[in-house]
Amino acid sequence: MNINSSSTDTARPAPSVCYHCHSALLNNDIRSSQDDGGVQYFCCHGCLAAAETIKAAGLQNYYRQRQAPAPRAELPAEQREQLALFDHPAMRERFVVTLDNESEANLMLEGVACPACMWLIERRLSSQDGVVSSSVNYESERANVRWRDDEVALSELMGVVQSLGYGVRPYDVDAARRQRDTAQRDLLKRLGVAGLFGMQAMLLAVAVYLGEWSGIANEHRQFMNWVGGLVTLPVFFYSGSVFFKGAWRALRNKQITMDVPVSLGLISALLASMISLLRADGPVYFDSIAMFCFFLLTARYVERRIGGRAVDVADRLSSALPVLAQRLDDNDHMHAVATSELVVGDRLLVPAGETIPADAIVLSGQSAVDESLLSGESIPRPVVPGGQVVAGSVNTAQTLIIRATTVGAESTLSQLARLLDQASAAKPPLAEWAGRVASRFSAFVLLVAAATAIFWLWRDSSQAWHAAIAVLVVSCPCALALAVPSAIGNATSALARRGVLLLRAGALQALASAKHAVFDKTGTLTKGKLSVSQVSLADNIEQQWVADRVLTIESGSSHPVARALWSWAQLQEASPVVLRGDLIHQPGKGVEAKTADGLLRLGTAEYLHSQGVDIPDVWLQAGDSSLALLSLEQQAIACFYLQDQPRDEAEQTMQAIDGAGLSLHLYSGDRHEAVASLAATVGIEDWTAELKPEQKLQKVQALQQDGGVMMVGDGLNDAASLAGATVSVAMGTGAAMALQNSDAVLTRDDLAALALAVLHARKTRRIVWQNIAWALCYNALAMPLAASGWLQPWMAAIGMSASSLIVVLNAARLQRL
Amino acid sequence: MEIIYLMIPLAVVLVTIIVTAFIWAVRSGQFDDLEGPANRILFDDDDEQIIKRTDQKTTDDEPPKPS
Repeated sequence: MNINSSSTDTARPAPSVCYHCHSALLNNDIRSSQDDGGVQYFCCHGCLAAAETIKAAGLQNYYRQRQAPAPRAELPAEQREQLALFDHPAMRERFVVTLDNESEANLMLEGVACPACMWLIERRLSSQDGVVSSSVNYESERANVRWRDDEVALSELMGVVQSLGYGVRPYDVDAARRQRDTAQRDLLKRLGVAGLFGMQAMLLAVAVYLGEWSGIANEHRQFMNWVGGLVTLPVFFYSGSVFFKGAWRALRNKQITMDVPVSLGLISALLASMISLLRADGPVYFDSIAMFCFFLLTARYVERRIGGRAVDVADRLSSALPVLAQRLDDNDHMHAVATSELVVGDRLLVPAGETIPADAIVLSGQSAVDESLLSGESIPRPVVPGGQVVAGSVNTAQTLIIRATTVGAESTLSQLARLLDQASAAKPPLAEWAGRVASRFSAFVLLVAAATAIFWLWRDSSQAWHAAIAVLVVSCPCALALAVPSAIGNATSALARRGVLLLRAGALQALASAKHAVFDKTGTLTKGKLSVSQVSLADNIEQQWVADRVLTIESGSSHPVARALWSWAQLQEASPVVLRGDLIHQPGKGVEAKTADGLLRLGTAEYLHSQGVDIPDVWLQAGDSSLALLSLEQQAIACFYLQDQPRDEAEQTMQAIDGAGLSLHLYSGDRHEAVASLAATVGIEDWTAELKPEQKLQKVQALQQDGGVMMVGDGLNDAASLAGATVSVAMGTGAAMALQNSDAVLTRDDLAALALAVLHARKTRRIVWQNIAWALCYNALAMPLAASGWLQPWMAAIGMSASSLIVVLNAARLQRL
Repeated sequence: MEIIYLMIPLAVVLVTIIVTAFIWAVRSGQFDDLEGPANRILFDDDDEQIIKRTDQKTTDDEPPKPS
């Protein structure tokens, strides 16, 4: 079909992007007419099906309300059968909770891009017969569904979500996750109690302080202090117990953490206040106790939320292996089985485009496997019967039948996982700035308090108790305790908006102090897919003529080289030609096609040679590129040079990181020439090629002797180095294992954010130090006043609030990038 | 000023009720998703009602019936 003619049959110009997923349209063949006379165009049948499902359910509002395009939809029909496996009792046991005749399960969603997706999935699920309730948690991208088993099955519900174009799999609620959720809720309850009762305590305290100026009857003041004490008790015992437990744990391990001085301050303040209350004389600090608990719990809550989100991200990523595999029985019947249940010797069917579920030997079929995530090799490796394939690699060309040789702990993937565990155990611990400062500080405070008491015992023993307590209370390291979490919280949320998701709290510190930046090649500095970089043509051959034929021959193939050639032909605005007979595929070699012009072959140089085609020698000087040649009869007519192109922003980012004073290194598992040329392009002088994962880790660890290493990678072969490096950053599209073991993720796959993250981390470090310096200054000022015995409780309260507020406001500057 | 002996305990009782309500809200999962509900309000869930109204509009052209 001609592209131009198809776009003229509507009054409006045809859009250039898919109606559903906004990816670029390759042609205008797939479309649906609307009731209002308009036409919608789609990039693929999957998107068309998703859009029609949405329309049929009466949920078109989704398209008006959404803020981000939908993910590209897969055609769901093929997966229906596999979904049925989730109805199997053994599988159900892991995911489904049954109460009476209602069942409940959590589903992990993939591709939730904006709140409209949440609305769409919720509405569609609720309209399904048999569904009692459904709700989508937008933050964790999980759907909670309750349904009646006699009316609908779990697999049907999952099918419903898939038909909308989202990925879905059951969420395995294990003990650790449940505990995390409860801990989070628990902290929020304590925070609420501290906040609400704290407000009461402060209200009463302000009345008392004002009374000090304008006069207040003694009995009124005493009454207010008593009530203030009453409302502070739940804050102290319920909310404050978090700190007491932490301090107790630290002391038992002979450590001093921030919890120790915090607990000390809280306990001494409460004791002093209670004694004052009973003696009906002296200062009370109830408002300070409540406010202090509230501020600190807020910081801690924010910190936990960051951590929780990191776990969610890791959960959401599809794992390296498929959930299900297709096993063939003796009669060649296909059965879907869980990958975890495979045994050695199983015969498995792996369709093109699917991930290979186990290390195996190929029994039949010729194809090419993409091992880029495992080895960093950017070009798929051809395999023939008898050849080996590795679990986690992707079958690109044709259906393979394989026999599993190793499963479980012995497989290549599991070995990588073990290497990774060792690496993370050897990871240098991230320095706890605040922890160190806190322990020295609290020792100092105790000394000052003791000195104060001794001094006053000698001068005037009636003042000794008051003054010592005042020192302990006033030095309550509120500002100090807030200095780090408030800065990190702000910096984290600012960076998340720019596409850098921090997964571990220490990541910022490590980023700020990194001296070396190590990069992986394939998928990190490069786009991770091949594209045509150059074309050579024989004399009298026109580029357009070649493009038309390439488009025809390569359409419908999923081999990376074929995709690259096809995209190139698309860019030349090629139109298909008529074929005589079917295409003949030679997996790993090329394609043969009969056309009106004669016999065309498109493939590797070896393949064309073996067919007796004459190829000019100059064409074969490919350097680091891969070659694809087109021949007409016995004459080579075109040569394509394919390269994994560097990311557009790679060079600029390298300059920025270099400018920030980090030394650049490129460690890759790919071939020598490919790495050398990329290093030259982006401007990295220190590079090493053909490294195995363990060698890569060794090189990173060697660099670490000299200073902090920031490792940036995406593949499974990087996972160990990522786990072992001082701080690691993974690309958002990388392998799940790589992401789980990194400290930060570039969620938008945009390298430019990396330089930003380094600079922002340094700014964060600066602000943390400012905060700490300020907190210490405040204490240096307040402590002598307290020790000298003329600090009033209201002064302490204002001083403490102001010092905390200044720290919080200073940290808020980190919101700006 | 004797009124404070009534008002302050009353305030404490009130805040206790509020805290109880808050804890109930946390337990029932209302704070599990802090982003979703803010967006959820933007989506119309009253489609059926809107259709009913347009139905009425078409009948408006006919002479009004006593209801």
